[in-house]
Amino acid sequence: MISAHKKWRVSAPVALATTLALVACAGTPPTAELRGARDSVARAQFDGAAQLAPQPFQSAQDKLNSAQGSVQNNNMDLAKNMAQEAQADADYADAVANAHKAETGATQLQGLSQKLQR
Amino acid sequence: MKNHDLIVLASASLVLAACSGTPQPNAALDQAQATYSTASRDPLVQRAAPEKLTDAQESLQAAQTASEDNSGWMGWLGPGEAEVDHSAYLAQRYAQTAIETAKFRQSAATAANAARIMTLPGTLFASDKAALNAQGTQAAKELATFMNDRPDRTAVITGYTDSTGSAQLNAALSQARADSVKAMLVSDGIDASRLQARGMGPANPVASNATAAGQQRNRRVEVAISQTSM
Repeated sequence: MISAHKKWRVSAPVALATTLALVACAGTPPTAELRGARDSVARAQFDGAAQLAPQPFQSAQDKLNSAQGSVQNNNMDLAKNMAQEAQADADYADAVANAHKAETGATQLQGLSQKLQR
Repeated sequence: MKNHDLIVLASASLVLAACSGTPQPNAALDQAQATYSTASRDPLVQRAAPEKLTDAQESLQAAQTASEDNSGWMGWLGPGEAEVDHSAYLAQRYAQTAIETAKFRQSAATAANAARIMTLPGTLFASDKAALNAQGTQAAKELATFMNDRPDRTAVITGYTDSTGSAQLNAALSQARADSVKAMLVSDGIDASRLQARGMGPANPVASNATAAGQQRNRRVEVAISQTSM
C-alpha cells in the first residue's frame, strides 16, 4: 500500500507544469477579435446597416453572439473564428449601407442639379 | 516481370496517387476565388480598397493552404474542412467589402461633381419681386429634402441681378431673393445656422448684359452647397 501511494506522488514542479499546460490548453478568450467584432457591429448599426444591409448585419450579430457563447463553453478556437466572421460580416454590411446612402445622395443631387440648371 | 512485382508496382502507384492527391473541391473556396478575382481586376476597387484586397488575398491563401493540408495521405493531420470554410468565408467578405467601398467612392465623386453650385433662374421668382413662384417653391422644396437628408452640408445662397436699373434696388432685390430662398428652406425644416444668404446685385454676370437673353440669365439665385469631407 505504502509503495503504491508513493508511486503516484508527484513533485510540486511537475504539478505546477501540468496545471499550466492544462490552462494553456483550455486557451484564453480571443479578446482582440471579440472587441473588433463588437466595434464593427456598433459602427454598422450606427450607419443604418440594420435597414440597408439586413442579411449580413443579422449574420454579424448572430456570429458575435455565437462567439460569446463559445467563450462560455471554453471553445476558444471556435470563438475566435466566429468573432472574425462577425467582424467581416459587420464591415461588409457597413460598406453596403454607406455605398447605398452615397448612391441615393448622388442620384438625388444629379436630378436636382439638372432640374435647376435649365 | 513476375506477378507479385506487378502487384507491388500497382500498390505503390496507388499510394503515390493518394499522396499527391488533389484537394477536395470546396464550394466556399471556389466562390471566394471568383469574387476575389473580379474585385482584384477592377482598377476602381484597386484604388478604393487596396488593404481589403490584401486581406482577401491572404485569407484566400490561408484557405488554399488548409485545403491542401487536408488532402493526401497526411490529410488527417490537416486543420479540417471547417478551417477551409472559415478562411474562404473571410476572403469572400473582404473582397465584397472592397467592391462596396469602390461603389461608395464612385457615388461620392458623382455627388461632389453635381453639388457644387445650383442655380435657381430668375424665372422661378415673381417678376421684379423677391417671392418664389409655384415652380420656385417646388425647387426649394427639393433642395430642402436634399439638405434634410444630408445634415452635414451647409449652403451659401447668393442672389444676383442684371445690370439694368438702380444699383441700390438691384442690391436690395438680390438680397431679398436670397433671403426668400433661405426662408423657404427654413420653413421646410433646415436649421438657419446651415444657411447663409447674401445679395451681390449685378456682380459676377454669367452672360452679357447687352442682350435681353443675357440679362435674364444673370437674374438668378445660386446655391453653393458645401462639400463633405470624404
